[in-house]
Amino acid sequence: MIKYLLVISTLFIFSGCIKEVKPWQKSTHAKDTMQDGGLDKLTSAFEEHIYFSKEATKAGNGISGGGCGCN
Amino acid sequence: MQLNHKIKLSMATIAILGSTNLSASSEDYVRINYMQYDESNNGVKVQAPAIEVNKNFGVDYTLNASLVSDSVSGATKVYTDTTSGASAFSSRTTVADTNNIQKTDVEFDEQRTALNANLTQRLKNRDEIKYGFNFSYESDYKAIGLNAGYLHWMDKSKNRSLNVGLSYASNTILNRHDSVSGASKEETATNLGLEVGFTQIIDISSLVSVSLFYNNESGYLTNPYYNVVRNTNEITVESRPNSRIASGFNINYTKAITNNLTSKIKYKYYTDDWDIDSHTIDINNYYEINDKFTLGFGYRYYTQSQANFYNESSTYFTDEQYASSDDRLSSFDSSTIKTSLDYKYNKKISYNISFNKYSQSTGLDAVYSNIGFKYKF
Repeated sequence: MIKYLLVISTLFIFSGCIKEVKPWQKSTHAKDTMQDGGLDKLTSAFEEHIYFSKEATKAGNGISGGGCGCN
Repeated sequence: MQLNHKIKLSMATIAILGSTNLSASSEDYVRINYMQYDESNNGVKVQAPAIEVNKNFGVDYTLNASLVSDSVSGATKVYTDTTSGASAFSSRTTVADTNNIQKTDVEFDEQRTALNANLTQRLKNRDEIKYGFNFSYESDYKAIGLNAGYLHWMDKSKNRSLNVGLSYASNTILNRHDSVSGASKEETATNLGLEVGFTQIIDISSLVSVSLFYNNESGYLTNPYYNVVRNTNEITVESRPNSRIASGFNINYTKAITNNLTSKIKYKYYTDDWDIDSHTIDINNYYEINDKFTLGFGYRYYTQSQANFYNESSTYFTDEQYASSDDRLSSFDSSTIKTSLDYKYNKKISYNISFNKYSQSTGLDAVYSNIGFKYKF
């Protein structure tokens, strides 16, 4: 339970820092380096496959985020 | 073959989970990769050529599809009667002299083909629906999976989003040595996954996302290629529970520290009802040296506790219902050092290479690498 409170705490911590970003201010967010999976999603998937094959953790690589709304 | 089975299961699930990632790319491109994985000490080797296509149809639809055909070979250690050579591939072997029970390398060779396809649809309010399908086939394993996701923008500027993803997979496993009859038998297993995520843009250079996940596996979860020793002299197939329920969360923070340096930090907590808890910290950085070259470097640390039915000893198990000596279910930690270099030849063509070193406290050492090509059209 304490661990799940960490998730909620994270949201509270960042909520104090949030500044509204207009669509025309998202050039940095639109960069490939900012995207989930980095520059090469195929290699990222291969990497996750290795961890999945060699370690016992079997979930949690799914919908980590909605991205920046740049598309 | 032994590891092969793990890879089959893993690839299918990765395909499912990976494909629930929302936020599709707005670029049209083809990527071709040649990926390799090599363990030291004559361990597993994987060669995995892959192709990925991303194509937009207008502004409302994006199709992403990938095909991987990998060949897996090498050797892995299982308990063997060194006098007869009998191992897990026999349904049950009683060994007269327990000194002859040793873990020895058993070689395998397998080919696998996997297809993954996702269609993203954007609605009038720009919310996104994703539909996904994946299929994986090899001689003694096949998996079919479906998934769907919904992303809802919570504000006009699209700085905040909520997303939900659901995945389902059906796996068929050929058990070549049924523990009762000794004959081959088809087994089945299903996997149901659910994730709920929230993403918030903090400012013009950073964002944070959190997600909660739940996963329910049921059916035949035993690895038919792994064995245990019972009553000090019987080599038999391992036995795992036919259900596994897992949950946990992810926290991701991405920050463009300067115009040319981006850092991504991820923490993941996982727990399941086999008593496995794990923690993962994954840091990835990208440094844009100039307009042509981008250097990637990162580090990942992982630690896990052991399953409640795991024991590495050949003299521990007697008549327990569940038993495994698969060291992936043991308590260990691992680290990965990651490097990559991306080269933009022109606006349409880029190349990339990566080299990474993976080490476990179990003694496993491996390197994995990639050479890739991307063409935007």
